[in-house]
Amino acid sequence: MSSRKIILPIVAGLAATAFSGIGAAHHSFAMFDDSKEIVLTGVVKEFQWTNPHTFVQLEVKGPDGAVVEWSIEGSSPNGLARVGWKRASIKAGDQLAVTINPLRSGEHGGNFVQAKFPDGRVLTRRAPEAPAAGAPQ
Amino acid sequence: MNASHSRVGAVRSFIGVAGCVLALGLGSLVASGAEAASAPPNWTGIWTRVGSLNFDPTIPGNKNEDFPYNAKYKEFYDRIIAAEAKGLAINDKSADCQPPGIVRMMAMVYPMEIIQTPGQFTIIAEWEGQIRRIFTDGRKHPEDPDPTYNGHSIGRWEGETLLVDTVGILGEGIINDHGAPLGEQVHVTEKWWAEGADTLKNEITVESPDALLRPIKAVKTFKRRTDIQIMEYICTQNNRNQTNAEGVTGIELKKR
Repeated sequence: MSSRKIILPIVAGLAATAFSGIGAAHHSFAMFDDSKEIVLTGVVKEFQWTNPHTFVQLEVKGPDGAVVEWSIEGSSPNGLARVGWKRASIKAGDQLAVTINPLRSGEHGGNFVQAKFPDGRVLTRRAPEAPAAGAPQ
Repeated sequence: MNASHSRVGAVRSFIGVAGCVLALGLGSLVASGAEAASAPPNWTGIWTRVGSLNFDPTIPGNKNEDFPYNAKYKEFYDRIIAAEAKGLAINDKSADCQPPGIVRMMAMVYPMEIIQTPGQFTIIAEWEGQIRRIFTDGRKHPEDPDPTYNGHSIGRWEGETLLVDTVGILGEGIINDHGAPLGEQVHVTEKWWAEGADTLKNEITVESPDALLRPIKAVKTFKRRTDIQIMEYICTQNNRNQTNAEGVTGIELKKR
């Protein structure tokens, strides 16, 4: 069991690397800090199922009670549809805990890593069983 | 036993030869020009890349590649790499929805569709809906063609290998995802062949004599896919990643 605990983060790391290959298509992802992950909990204002990238507009209440809107960029519908997403996978009004790689600038934006619904469902940017298309073979 | 079998064998051989002759005859009726000599293999279908989006797909996508740049372009590339390390992409024209250009396009971030018709080998890249028409009808390049993103391509079959030559390529293009630059002069040659029914290889050689000290070469691998379709990709639909006044890729926050 202890070996499994070690292996899992490595596999996760490879998957992230593979994805960065896919995501870097339309533009460089240098603006996102992929060494950092933060979790935002809030309500979806809008889900943009559009090319070249999808966006989750998430309203997040800060500790002071003020609501801040975050722009969370995801892969294209082309990439996500092939791993099982649909245009209604995320809807306005959904409560989500979204994990992102934040913008290095500190502004309210980031790159989508995964989203967790209150019922425990998790949306990732690649199907668990899908081959790592961006990984070297 | 041997006598009767050899007679059957002889009959079968005759039928086989006759069939071949017939097939060749029909082939020459439908084929024309350069393709008449022998039927080329049929690679019509949808294909996806194997490996990373680097020029050499065996190099992981998060690694920068080394290219034999001259001093001027090495200085430019070094600046690009240094900026990238600080989170600033400064040679990222596709962020503004510019087509990737032939060299970077052939990394094939999304699937491609190959359509073979008499006299033409067509590649449709899902990314940016880019189309390459490779003329296999024996024509030559035009004299002094106007430069375009994907250039002017002519191809010829040598047995089961497709040899492609592309000129008239727009200058200052990009080699890979990291913004590695090309010069004003670019010439691309490709050698395509199949390994089995479902694997396609493309050995691509890029010359850019005003930027690269020698040609660079890589082999791309593609797998046949019968489980997916080509989808629409219109970059200007909702592009929130345009470059700013300093040419740095950004993100438009809070749109709409």
